Amino acid sequence: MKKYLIVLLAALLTLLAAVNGMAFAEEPVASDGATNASDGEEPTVLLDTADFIRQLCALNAAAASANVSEEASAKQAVREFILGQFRLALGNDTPIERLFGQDDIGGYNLEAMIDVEGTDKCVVIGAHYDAIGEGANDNAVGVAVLFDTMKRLAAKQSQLPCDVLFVAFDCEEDGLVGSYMYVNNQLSAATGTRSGIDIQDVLVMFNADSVALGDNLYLMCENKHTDLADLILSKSQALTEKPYAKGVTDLADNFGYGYYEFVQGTDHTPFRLSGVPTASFFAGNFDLLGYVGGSEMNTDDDTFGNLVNSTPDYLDRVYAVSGAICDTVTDENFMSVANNARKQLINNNLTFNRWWPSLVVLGVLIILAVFAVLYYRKLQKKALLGNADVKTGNVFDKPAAEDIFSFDKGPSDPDSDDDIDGIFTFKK
Amino acid sequence: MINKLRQNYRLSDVLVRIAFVLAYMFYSWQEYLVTAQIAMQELSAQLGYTVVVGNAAVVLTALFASMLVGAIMMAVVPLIATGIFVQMSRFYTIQRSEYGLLANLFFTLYFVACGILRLINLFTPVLLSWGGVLFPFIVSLGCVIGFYRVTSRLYFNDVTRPVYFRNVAIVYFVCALVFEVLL
Repeated sequence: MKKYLIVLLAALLTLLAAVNGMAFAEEPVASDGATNASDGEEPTVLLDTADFIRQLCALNAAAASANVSEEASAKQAVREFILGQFRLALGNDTPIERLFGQDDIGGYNLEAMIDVEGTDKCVVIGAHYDAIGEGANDNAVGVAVLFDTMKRLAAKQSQLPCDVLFVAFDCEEDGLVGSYMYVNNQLSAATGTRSGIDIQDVLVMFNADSVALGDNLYLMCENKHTDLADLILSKSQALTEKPYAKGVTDLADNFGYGYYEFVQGTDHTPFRLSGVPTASFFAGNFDLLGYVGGSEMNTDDDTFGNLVNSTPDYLDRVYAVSGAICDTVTDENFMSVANNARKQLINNNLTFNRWWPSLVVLGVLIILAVFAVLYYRKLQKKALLGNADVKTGNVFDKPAAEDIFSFDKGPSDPDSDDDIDGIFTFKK
Repeated sequence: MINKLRQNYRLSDVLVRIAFVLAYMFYSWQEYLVTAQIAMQELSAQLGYTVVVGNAAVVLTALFASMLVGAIMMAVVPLIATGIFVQMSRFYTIQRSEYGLLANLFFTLYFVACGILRLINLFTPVLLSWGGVLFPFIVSLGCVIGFYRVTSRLYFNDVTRPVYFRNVAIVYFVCALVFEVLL
C-alpha cells in the first residue's frame, strides 16, 4: 500500500511540475534567450512573437540605461539577439550586421535574405530596431513584423517569385540615417548568396513602423490609389489605407511625394526617393491637424508593459501586417502588380504633380495671350483718336513753395524789421 | 496717413523697402527653414555627427538668409524695372524713382498674397503640388494687371499706352513661361 502511495505521490508531483512548467513555459525561454543575447552567445530557441517583443524591449531598456562603458556591449546584445532569431527563423546563415559610419558614431544595419534562383528581382522588407527607451511600439513590434514575416516566408519559399531581403535599420530616430546609408552604400553590396542588388531590381519596399498603438492600422503607398495598395488591402481586413491629404503638413517635400506630410518620415523614404514603390505600415489616428501617433511614442513610456495594458491585441496588429506582406508577395498577381507599381509611381508623382500643373499654366497663358492681343488692338484703335496730352500725374505731391520757404514782404511792408528786398528763407 | 506719405517720398521709399524685405521673408520662410535644416544636417553628417545643430541655429540661419536675399531683391527690382525695362522701352515721361517704388510695392503685395496662400500648404498637402504652381501664377497675374493699370494711368496717354501695354505683356509672358512652366 505504501508503495502505491509513494508512486501516486510521485506521479502527482510530476503532474504538478508538468502543469507548472506548461503554465510558465515562456519564462525560462525568455530568460534563456535574453541571457544568451547579452552574453553574446547564439540563441538556440526560436521565440514566438510575443516573447521576441518582450525580450527585445528588455534588451532595449538595458541598452538605454547602460552607462557609457557598457553601452556598446548592450547595443551589441540587441543586435546579436535579433540576428540570432533571424538565423533561426530563416534557417540559413545570411543574417549579418553591416556597419556604417564610424564605429562609435555610426550604426549597424541588420540584413538577411531568402534567395530564389532564376531571378534578379527582389522585395525589401524593413523595420528599424533602434529605440528610445524600451521602444515597444516604436519599434520592437515593427521588428517583430519583420521576424514573423520571415518565419512565414521561410515556410513558403517555393511560392516566392523573387528574392526577399529583410533589413532591420539602425539610427532611424536620428533622421533615417541607417536606411539612407543602406540605400546609398550597402544595397549594392548586399550579401547573402547574391553579389549585390541594383536599386532598379527592387520591386517594392515594405516598411513597418509603430504598428501597435492607435485606433487604426494604416497602409500608405502613394498619394493616389494604386494597384499595389489594392492588392495589399485585399489581404487583410485590419488594414485601412491612409487618408491622404489630411492634416498639418511638413515644410518640405523631403519624402518625394510631390507634397509634404509629417507621417512619411520613416525608413521607406530613401527607397521611395530612389524611385522604388513603397508600402509603409503604421498605426495611429488622424484628426484635424493630421497624424497622431501614440502619446508614448519616442518617450520612456513606450514600454512593453504599457503596450500590453493599452493594446492587449497588439499581436493581432503584428500578424495582420506580416500576414498581409506574406500573402501579397506570394500572390500570383504580385509580379505584374509590382512591375506596374513603378510606372504608377511615375504617373502619379511626375505626371500628375509636376507636369499637369505646368501644362495648365501654359494653357491659361496661351488663352491670356489671345486676350492680350485683342486688348492691344483695342488700345491701338483708341490711340488713333485718343488724347495725346503729356501725362504729368504723380503719386507724390509736389510741395507748394510756401511749404518750403517763408517769404518776407519786402521793404514796402510796414511791419518788416529789415529793409532787404525780395528775400526768402528755408522753413525749419 | 496716405496723404502724409504722398508728401514724403523718402519716408515712403524706406517704408516700402522695409515692407518688401519683411514680405519676402514671410513668403519664403518655409523654403529657407527647410533648406537651413537640410544644410545643417549635411554639415552635421560631414562632421561625423559630432556637432548637433540646434533648432535655434536653424531658425536664425533661415531668418538671416531670407533677410539677406530679400534685401538684395529689394535693391535689384527697382534697378531692373527702371534701369532695364524703362530704359530699353524709352519711356521718357516716367518718373523713375516713383516707378521703382511702385514696382517694389507691387512685389510686396505679391509676396504677401503668395505667403498667405502658401500657409494653406501647412494645413493640407492637397494643393501643394498644384497650388505651388497655380498660386504664384494667379497672384502674379493680378499684381501685373494692377501695376499696369496704376502706372499706365499715371504716366501714359491714349497714344503711348498701347506700346506700354505691349512691353509689359511681353515681359510678363516671358517671365511666366520661364518661371511657371519651364522651371
